Amino acid sequence: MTNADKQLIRLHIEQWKHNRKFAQTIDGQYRDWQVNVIFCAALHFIDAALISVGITVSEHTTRNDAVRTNESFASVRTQYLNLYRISRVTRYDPDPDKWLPEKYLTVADLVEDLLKPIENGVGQLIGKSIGFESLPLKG
Amino acid sequence: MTEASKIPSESTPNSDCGIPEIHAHESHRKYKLIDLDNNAVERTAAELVEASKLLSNRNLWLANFSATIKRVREWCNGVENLMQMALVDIRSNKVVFYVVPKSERYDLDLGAKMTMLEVELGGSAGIGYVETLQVPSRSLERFAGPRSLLVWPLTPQPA
Repeated sequence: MTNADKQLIRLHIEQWKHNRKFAQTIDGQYRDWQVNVIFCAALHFIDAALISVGITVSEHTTRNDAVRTNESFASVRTQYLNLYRISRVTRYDPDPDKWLPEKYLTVADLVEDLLKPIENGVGQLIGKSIGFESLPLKG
Repeated sequence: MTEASKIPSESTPNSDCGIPEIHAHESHRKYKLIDLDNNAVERTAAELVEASKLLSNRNLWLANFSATIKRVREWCNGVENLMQMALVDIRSNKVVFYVVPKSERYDLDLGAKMTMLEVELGGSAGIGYVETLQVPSRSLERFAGPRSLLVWPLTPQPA
């Protein structure tokens, strides 16, 4: 792995932390934005993990395809693609709150059910490449 | 159809069966194609070879698309308790299957099954990038668009 790749992974990890932290500041009446920011956090985490195994992506189609076709990502496919699909509709639907699953009342619910499994599932790929410690943030 | 056989060139008739050969490396060489209405079109050898490949690919794509629709219908039958309908939209860079759940909200269980379908189709469909998207029935037109085709159910359900 090149130094440039390692630097790119660190940047994605910083952005993952940034989005994860921001999501926890969003008021509960903006659940559509909560889920979109959580999705952005997941996306940067996935990108960091993909670079760690030698795959660089820049758009949703190639990223989703990489997640679907690489066995290293098998354990996080459902969570990531559920987040992707929920995010797609809530960004453009005129009544996005009605589309969100009822079980996700708070950011903590979203993190616990969709983001943490992704972090736990592919965090070790990143850990091997840049010595990253998984889940340094609360919630 | 082609004047290739009249032109003395590297594109000489095949000695085995008399079929004129057009070689892609003759990129400079032009051929005149004349259709049944006597309209003439000039194309280089490289263009003719590429067009032939596209024609073959198109036929293969259509066959694979038809097989994919059959597989998606089978999948829909297996999750009919969770969904209202499925549509397909052929985009320039991907094929999108829209899945409308019975639930008014995003159905996480149906989403998990959609992921399994995507994994299966991604490896075998042979029609390029395939994506599934779960959309609410109330906003179906916003996402699916007028060119989308109904995939399932085969007989529209009464409202």
